[in-house]
Parts: sequence; structure tokens; C-alpha cells
Amino acid sequence: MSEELYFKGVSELSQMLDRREISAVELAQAFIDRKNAVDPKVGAFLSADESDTLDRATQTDKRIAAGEKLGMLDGIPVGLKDVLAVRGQKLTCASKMLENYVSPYTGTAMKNLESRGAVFFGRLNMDEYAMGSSCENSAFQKTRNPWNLECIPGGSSGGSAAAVAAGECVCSLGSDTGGSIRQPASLCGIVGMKPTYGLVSRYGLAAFASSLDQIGPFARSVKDAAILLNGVAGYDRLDSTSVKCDIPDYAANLSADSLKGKKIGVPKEYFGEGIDSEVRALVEKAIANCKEQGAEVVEISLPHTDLAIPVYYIIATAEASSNLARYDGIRYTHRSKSAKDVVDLYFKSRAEGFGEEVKRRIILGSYVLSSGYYDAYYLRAQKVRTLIRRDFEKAFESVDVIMTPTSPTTAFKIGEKTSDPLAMYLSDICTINVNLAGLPGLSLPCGFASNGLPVGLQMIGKAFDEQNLLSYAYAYEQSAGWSGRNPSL
Amino acid sequence: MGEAVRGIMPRFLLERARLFCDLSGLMANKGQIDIDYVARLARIELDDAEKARFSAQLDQILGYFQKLSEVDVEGVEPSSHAYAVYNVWRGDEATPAMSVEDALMNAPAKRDNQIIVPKVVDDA
Repeated sequence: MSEELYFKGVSELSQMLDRREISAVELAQAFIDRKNAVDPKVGAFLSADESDTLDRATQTDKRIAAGEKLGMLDGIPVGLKDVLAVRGQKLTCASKMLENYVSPYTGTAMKNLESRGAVFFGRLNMDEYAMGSSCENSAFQKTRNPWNLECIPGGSSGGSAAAVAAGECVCSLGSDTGGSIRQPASLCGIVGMKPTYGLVSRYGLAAFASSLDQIGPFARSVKDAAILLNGVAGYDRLDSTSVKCDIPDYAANLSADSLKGKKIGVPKEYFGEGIDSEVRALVEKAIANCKEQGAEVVEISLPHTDLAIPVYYIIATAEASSNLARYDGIRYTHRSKSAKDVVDLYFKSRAEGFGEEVKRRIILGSYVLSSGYYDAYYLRAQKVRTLIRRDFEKAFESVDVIMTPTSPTTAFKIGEKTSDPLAMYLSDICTINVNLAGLPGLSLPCGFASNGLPVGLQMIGKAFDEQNLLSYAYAYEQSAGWSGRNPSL
Repeated sequence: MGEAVRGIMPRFLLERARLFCDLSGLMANKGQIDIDYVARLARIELDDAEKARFSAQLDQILGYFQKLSEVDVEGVEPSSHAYAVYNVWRGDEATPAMSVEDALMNAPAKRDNQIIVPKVVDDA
């Protein structure tokens, strides 16, 4: 029975629950069984409180019996990146610093999902504190790409992507600071979306770089991603950067002919050297498909594109050095047992608790903010960030959507880039501009390279134009039909 | 898509090659970063191997950042957020707060609803 279940989408499973063809507890158990069968190979789950998952499913079954089902997400197993707070559940950020931490409260996005009856299942692996592009910076385990177990799943939300691609949960949440949802979605052959900055509350998301972080969905189809986005989005007074805006029913308004008459901007800077030729060919083929559906394709320029990596790694590390100061060994983290005094306690607890990449970024961030260097690095990066934003503003005066590759290559081999941090930083080259500009970005599958690994098409939309962005993605998906292909494990 | 388009990588690769040639020079003058000072700012104890490794890597990364110095930012406002965010106010209303038990549930050492920390004042 379960084999037929674990690759089904949200709406189909929801209908099965409505028709009483399956109970929510049976559904949850099917995913628990699937996880136990394939996760020893994939390594997506850091932990899973199975009894909590079954309890939540039991509540769904009670509601169904009472005729009070809450909507399409009620009873659907949703995985969570281990950076998102749910009261009583572990939250490790894949760091030794928080190895034993249990959340005393539930973050707003997760509360929104709870109020819709979603069944949380699993704490998913990630790069430590969301810093990385391959999941190899997790302090606890490697996650493997379900399409090729020798390859990385992408990062930082690699566990969230791999779990969905492997059919271990129906959909999942991740966080995206520089591409951490879209890049692993691309490398694992699924749909992943970073919403506009401010659409989803960050309350209960352990902070990495607060001006860039955003929670978003992973799913095996655009429609499921739309349903999950509806489940988490909304204004929240507990996040002062949360934005009040109308939130339509994204899934209900998807239109398969939405690309007709629309203008697609193709930025030449994203198709130069450094982009793998097969990736480029498949993305160009996808854009040609959109053109066949009646869209107009125009070449555009985003002239400050090649400055994104330095701007991002200055701003993100500066914000991280400040945000991660809270992990001090005093209140709720790992505490060193060998410290001489209270100041030594900070130094030793942080030395023992943080992994290599986290230390490197905190030190880099401390440097760019330090006296004498602030103007040359941090302030200058903030100014160039303005120029990058303006590039997009200007482009969106004449186009409806921008299309690019999501990742310059398909998934690379585990261990291939771990000794070269700068090479690893370049994996984010196509995605970080979108965070710097605060825009919504979505990755969806657009084919497979000759090595058998999936390739992702990135669509970038106007601020708070999630509805149209999802609709364009849906139109391409319906026409090209790449979503729904699943790896054999 | 034209073939002659300047991509994202070539400038990087060129700089990388140049940096590689310069690396011996950088190493000789201990590089740009005073790693002991910055590690102190960051409150992270580093061992000698980490200091050497981070110094070399961060010098390389900072070298790559130099391309920002070529950009004309005269008169450009800095962005601290993607959108202009002004002070966000709310009413000063009392709401239930987290309980002491919850707030201390992850404390590494506690007693009588307080966190135990090493002594911060000398006896003398």
C-alpha cells in the first residue's frame, strides 16, 4: 500500500483522507515506514519523534470523524529543517552547540501549519547554522542525493530537499538565505521556493543573516509548493520585518496558460562561462518551451551580477557574527567544562560548539565589521546591494518574470569542494542576488543531464507577486512534465 | 544567447589565478587579517592549525572581495534591508510571557530558577 502513497501529492492524499480511503494515522505510519526503509541510505533525518507525528495524525482522524477537517494540509506529513522551532521538539541547527536543545516555543510559520492540521514529521539535516551549499557542514551526518548517493543533495536545506525527493515526507520547509532552498531543490529534482522577504514570519527561525533569511516550501509539484506556502505565509507582529499584504489562495489560482503574452527576461550574465553547458542547454530549452506557450523572450542585463558573491559574503557573515553572538555557553547551549573563568567560558564553549565553516564565517563577519574596515567592506557592500536591487527594479519595468539556471552545475560529489571554501561559495552564484534584492525565487525541474542528475530552472518574480510566479512555474511544469519523476532507492 | 557574453566566472578565475601567484607574498607579510585580534573579537579560541588555515583562506576570500573597491558608489544609499523598513511600533500591552521553567529548560547549569555561571568578581 505504502509504495503507492509516498510519491503522491498533497491534494490527492487529502482527497483520499476525505473519502476515508486511508486514515491520517495510516498515512503517517506509511511515511515513518518509508523513512525507516530508505533513510539509512539518504541520511536526511537528524531525528524524528514518531509518537508525536502519530499523535498529530490521530488529531486529524478525530477531526475527520467529526466532519471538521481543516483543509488540504490536515493530516499531511510535513518535514522541517532543523532550524525551525516547534515546542518540545529538538532544534539543533545541525550544530554541537545545540545538540541537546529543545524548543520552548513554536515559531509562527509552524503555528500557522499546526492550525491547518499539518502533521510534522522529522527534523531534517542541514549545513550547520544554514552555512553551506552541500549539507557537508552538518556536525552530525552527511545527507546523500537520492538520485546518486555519491553526490551531495545541495545546501543548506539539503535534508529538506532529499527527504521530499526520496518520498520520506510529502513536502517540507527549509530556509533560504542565499539559495538554501532553491539550490538543493534544483540538485534533487524537486520544486523549492524562497518567498519575498517579509511574506513569511521569521519568528522561530534560528537567525543566520536576518536581512536575507526567509522560510519557504519544498514539494514534488508546483501546486504542492503553493499549498504549503499558503500554509505558512502571513503577517506576524512578532517579526518586525513581516509585511502586511493580501495573500490569495495560490493553489486555487494556478493557471496552465499563464505564460501567454508574458515577457520573460533572460539575463545574459547568468549564461556565460562557468555555467555547465548541459545545464545551460536544458535551461534554454525550458525557456524555449515557455516561448512556444506564447511568452515573449527578451535578453536583459543585470550588470552588477558578478558583485553578488562579495556583497553577499560580507553582509551575510557580518549579520551572522552578530546573530551567533548569542551562542555563548551561558544560557541554553553547549558549555565547556574546561574553562578557567567566565570569559574563557565564551572562548572555549564557542571553540568546542561551532564547526569549521561557522567559525570561518563568524571571524570573517567580525573582521568586516571591525573598526577601520567597516566602511571599506560592510558599508560599501550595503551600497552595492542597492545597485543590485536597482538592476532588478529596472528589469522588472519591462519584463514579468526572469528565468535563469538555479545552480551552475548538477550535484557534485561528496568531498569534492570541502577543502576550498571559495569554490563552495560559488555554488550560490545564481541564487544570492535574489536574496539581496528580497525578491521571490522558485526552482523547478527542467530535465536531466547525461550523468542522470536533475537540472533546475530558476524563475524570479516581482516582490509579493508569488501568485504569478507560481502560475508561470505551473504552466511550464504542465507543459514540460518534469515534476513527478522520482529516484529509485 | 551570444557566445561573447562575459559570464560570472571569468573575472573570478582570472583573479583566482592572480591571487594564487600573489599568495606567497601575502603569506610572507602575514596577510591582511590579524587573526588573533579578530578571533578575540569573535570570542572563539583557535588552535595554531586553525589560525594558519583561516588566515590563508580569509586572505584569499578578502582578495576576492577587492572587486567591490572598483565600483562607483558615490551618492548611493546603503541598503540594510531589501525594502525600506522604518521603526515598527506596537501598543505597550501586557501579554503572557514564557514561563521561567520554559526559559531555563535548556540551561547548562541552574538552581533556584537561575542560571549558574562562573564567578565574575574576584574575592580580593
